Amino acid sequence: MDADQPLLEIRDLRTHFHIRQGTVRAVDGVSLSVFPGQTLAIVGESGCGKSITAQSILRILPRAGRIEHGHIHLQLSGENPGRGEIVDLVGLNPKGSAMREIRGGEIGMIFQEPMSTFSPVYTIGHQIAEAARLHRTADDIEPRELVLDMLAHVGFAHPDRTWSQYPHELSGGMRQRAMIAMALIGRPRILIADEPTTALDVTTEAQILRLMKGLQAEFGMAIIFITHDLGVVARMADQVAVMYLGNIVEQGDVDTVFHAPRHPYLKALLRSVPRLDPAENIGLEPISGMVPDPFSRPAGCPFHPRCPEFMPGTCDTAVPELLPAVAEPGRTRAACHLYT
Amino acid sequence: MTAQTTAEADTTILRVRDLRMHFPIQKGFLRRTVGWVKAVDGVDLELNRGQTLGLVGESGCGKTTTSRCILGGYEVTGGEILFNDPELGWVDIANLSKDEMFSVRRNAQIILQDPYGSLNPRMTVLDIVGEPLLINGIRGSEREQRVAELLSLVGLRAEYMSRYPHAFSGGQRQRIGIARALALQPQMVICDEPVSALDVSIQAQILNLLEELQDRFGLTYLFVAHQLNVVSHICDRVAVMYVGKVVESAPTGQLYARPRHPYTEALLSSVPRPDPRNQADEIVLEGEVADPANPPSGCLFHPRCRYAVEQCRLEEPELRPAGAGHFVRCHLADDLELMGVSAPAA
Repeated sequence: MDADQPLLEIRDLRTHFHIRQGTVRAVDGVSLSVFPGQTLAIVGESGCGKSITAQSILRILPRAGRIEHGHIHLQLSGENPGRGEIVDLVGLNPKGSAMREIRGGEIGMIFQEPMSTFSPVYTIGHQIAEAARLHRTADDIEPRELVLDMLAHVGFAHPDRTWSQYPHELSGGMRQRAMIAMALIGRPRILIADEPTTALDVTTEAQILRLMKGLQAEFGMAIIFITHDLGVVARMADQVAVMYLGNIVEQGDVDTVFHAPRHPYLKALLRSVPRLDPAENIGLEPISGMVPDPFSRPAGCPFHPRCPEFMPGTCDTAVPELLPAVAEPGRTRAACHLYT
Repeated sequence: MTAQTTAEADTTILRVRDLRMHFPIQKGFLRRTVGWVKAVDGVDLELNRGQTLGLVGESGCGKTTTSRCILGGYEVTGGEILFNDPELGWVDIANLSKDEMFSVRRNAQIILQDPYGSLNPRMTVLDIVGEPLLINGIRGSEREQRVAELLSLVGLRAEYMSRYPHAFSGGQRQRIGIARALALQPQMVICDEPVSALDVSIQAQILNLLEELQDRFGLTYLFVAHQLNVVSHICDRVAVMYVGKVVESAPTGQLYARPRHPYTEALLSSVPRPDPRNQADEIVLEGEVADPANPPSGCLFHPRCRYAVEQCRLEEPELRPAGAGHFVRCHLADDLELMGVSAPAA
């Protein structure tokens, strides 16, 4: 596998929602690349478009949402017909067989709430085996064997017992493990994780994060990790994209993003997180105001009404581009007029 | 009572001793009681005037039940909740008449987690914030003026008074909740996960507001939360709960720098920190939180504790002093050298 070739490449994605009150530009020009075996974190506050980006990739947008523009190029794996071929997911029918093959087979997904993934009326084993039957057709192994093996992998001490349990019989952390098993049963090369630990307690979160890292090393998959928690980003990510109001405002490798942030939004966000060590906690600097109403997006840079470095005449007129155009080591790419 | 108690009486506002709250498990047509969920089973707290005490722990540890007991929400199973009421003096909230409770409620208020669920959508802001005033006989223009003051106190415009909650964002709704809690100028406010549902940038605004109000009115906070970084920022003292019991309590700096209970150590190491260069070697706890209806023998934490010895399985530890203002419920506290949150190595 060529590690320089992105598995998934998003180009200028625009996903808009057309509802009675008007049009919401939930994702408005996002470009991202996902490389084999790496973790890309998409981080931002509620309403920034991080989840809609994920739903656009998987083509599971709510009915009002539409991809208006852009490409999502996915490199197909060897096992599929047309090995190594690149398909544009935007061109596929969301309900078609090709897309269904990709969902679960090429791209696995886990969410914040496992109960939304599992049906309450079938056993865990039954449901994961169904996914195995769909996506592991080439294997000559009984789906049951595959499922028991995967359940053991994600940390169930007694896979046999878990096989016949119903989702409600598991605790939150265990349900999350079962969901990971279901997502990975098709051996996807990309796992999209949308806030997978947000609803969990901190010690359970630590268990799940460690499990995900271990499975990533074992299966060599790429992870797109969507979260609002900068701590989780620092622990999990290789690459980070920070989103604000449908745009990526800063992008780079995790160390540079945390230690040499350039965009005023990211700088402010980092200053507004309370630190764990009381000795480091001097004062919080909240970001003034709030995320604007999606129907009345500010002109120019979407962050300008809250920005401490607002430059009248520039920031409120022109939309800044993500610069430098090509990533450089030790420097993030930021969409801010300060750097143009 | 001795002179010492009188001197203490001025600084201490709340003293909880061996609080227990057990809920019956009922089964069958006759609702026979077949067991007890020991939601709170041995909580000792002491809260000084003008200070913030953090009550932390994972879901199901009993922190919210404890705060409800303190507000007189349940008939407690055992223990004392002594509150230093400015009018009544020391009273036991667990054992109060209706009139006394009315007075205590004026002085002990609560801010809730969910800024959506905790405001009645069919009441205007004036009605929500002004309801406690109405109950205490403040009406008409006096009430309106007081609500206007309260709103500006929490950073909202007085013109918003006639609007309904749906017109506000999560952060603004939390401000409305704070205004309501402060309407009767309480002595003590219980903050039950007040910023858990908010985005980071808004969270910082609310935390700063709470600190500002505390400085201004000398408020005492009982801050119930699971976010250890938020607690680190806002609390003077922290009490850690595990399956209904306080397992450790200490001044914040001490607890974070040098925890004495293995559970606290694991908890602190689990928190992902917003710095890729300073990630703790997290201690991943095996297994799950004990079931409060069917607790393990001895120390409740022993099945998950990596330091556990035979004694931990057999004997239940007592909460005992371990240094200045530091209390811990662990047999091995004196022998263990536990890891705290250290500053990053430059």
